[in-house]
Amino acid sequence: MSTNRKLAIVLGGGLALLALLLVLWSFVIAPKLNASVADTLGRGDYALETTGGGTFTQKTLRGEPSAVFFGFTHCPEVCPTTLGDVAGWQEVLAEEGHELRVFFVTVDPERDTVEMLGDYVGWVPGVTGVSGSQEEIDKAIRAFRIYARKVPIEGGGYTMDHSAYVLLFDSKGRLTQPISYGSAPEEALEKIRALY
Amino acid sequence: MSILKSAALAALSFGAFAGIARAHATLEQADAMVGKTTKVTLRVPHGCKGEPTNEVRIEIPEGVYAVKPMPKPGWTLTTEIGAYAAPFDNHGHEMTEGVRAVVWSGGALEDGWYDEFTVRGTVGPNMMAGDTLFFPAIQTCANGTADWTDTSGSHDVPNPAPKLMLVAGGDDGHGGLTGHGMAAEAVTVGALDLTAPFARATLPNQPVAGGFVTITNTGMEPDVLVGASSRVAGEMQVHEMKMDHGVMKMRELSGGLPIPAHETVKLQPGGYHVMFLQLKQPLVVGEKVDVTLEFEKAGTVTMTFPVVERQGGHGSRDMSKP
Repeated sequence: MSTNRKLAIVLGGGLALLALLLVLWSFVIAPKLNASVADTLGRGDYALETTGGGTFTQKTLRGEPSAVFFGFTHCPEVCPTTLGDVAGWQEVLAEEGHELRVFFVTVDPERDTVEMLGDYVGWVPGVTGVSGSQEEIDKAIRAFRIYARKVPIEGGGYTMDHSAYVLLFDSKGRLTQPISYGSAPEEALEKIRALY
Repeated sequence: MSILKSAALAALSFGAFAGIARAHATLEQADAMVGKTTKVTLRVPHGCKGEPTNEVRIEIPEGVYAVKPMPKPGWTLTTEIGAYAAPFDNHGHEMTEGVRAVVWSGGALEDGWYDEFTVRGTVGPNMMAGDTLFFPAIQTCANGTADWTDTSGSHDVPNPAPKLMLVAGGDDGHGGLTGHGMAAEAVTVGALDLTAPFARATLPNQPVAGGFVTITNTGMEPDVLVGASSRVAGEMQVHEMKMDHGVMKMRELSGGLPIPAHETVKLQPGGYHVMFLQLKQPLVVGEKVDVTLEFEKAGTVTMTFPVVERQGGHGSRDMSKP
């Protein structure tokens, strides 16, 4: 076999391998990487209690579309504002024949019992409060990739830094997209309507 | 998965909700008081893709009444008159129509120059503190326009409409606060003028709340807001709230909030606030709470904070409805 022919075989083989890798990447690996956030966010073995008397686990998100927000009652602005926004969305959605399931999960189970959350969220249609032991809440915070941190304040108390977006899940329990804090109502509603 | 969704998820995963660093046409005023006359100044930072601006048009939103534009030498001033969605009681005289847009034309503002275009008008007394008013603006050049017309309120669009936020009105017997017939207090202590105080109503079992006020230091010396107290709260602290890549962060300003000489510092939703902790009673819309503010130099002063509707600090909910 001539040197040229050998070279051609090596080159050809190399190119074929490259092409194969490219195909693998585009059709197998990249979609998996992309899909992983949507498929795994919210998955975990947390078991929490709801203000409706039920449990909140990864299975809860299946069946119908839902929204999940992490907050706490010692929250002067972001959490009340978000609940106010949710109330506004529900008003519009009701006219369209929908009521979005919304779970308000506390990042502060030490102070927020299920009983307290009941009245706190009870005035907004479709909203269920979620609390539980610190350990189970920590599992949920990890599962939903939420940032939550206790910050001590003067006088021995503390406040919480926390992610302030509303996460939307389709009826299969897959994350679709977040609604960032302060989104205009139409922007948020468009994202919610895409779930139905 | 669509590219958009992947992008949204990537942003979520990496916390990279980055802003766009380009000069937009904006208003000089960050906010305006409900029921009050206000100046609205459009700042034009550049032309359209390098071309000089020949015409500037600004639209007046619903709820802003009795608008008078300020003429500018070298520009021809025209106004567009239209009906108001709701009539306005102008000192006992009902106005059903008025200026809805102002156009300055026939000028030549070079791309490398800067100019301001001003109107004056009155914010209707029935408007809500916390709502955002958008003033869509269009610059017209020889071969194109620069549009500042996106009223979604999003920070991520290339052409946001100039906007200002409504805050509760002060007390000069000139219209009240958000239609509840209350007058907010304005006080002066030392070199400090305190205006437009308000607190937001609380939810059931919400043991904390934010209080807001505008502080203007008219003196030569800097001062510091070091503390606050109220009989409705076990404790009050001066805090700063920040949104950082989608994360709400709140910090106590243990050294207090500096009020520099000749400057105005606004305690407002999404930023500085006095925080009511261990609330002894819910804050109810229409009620008032007395708050004592303590300054390093000016001393202490007590003023009345009206409790206003709890709603989005970014809210344009009412205006987006048909």
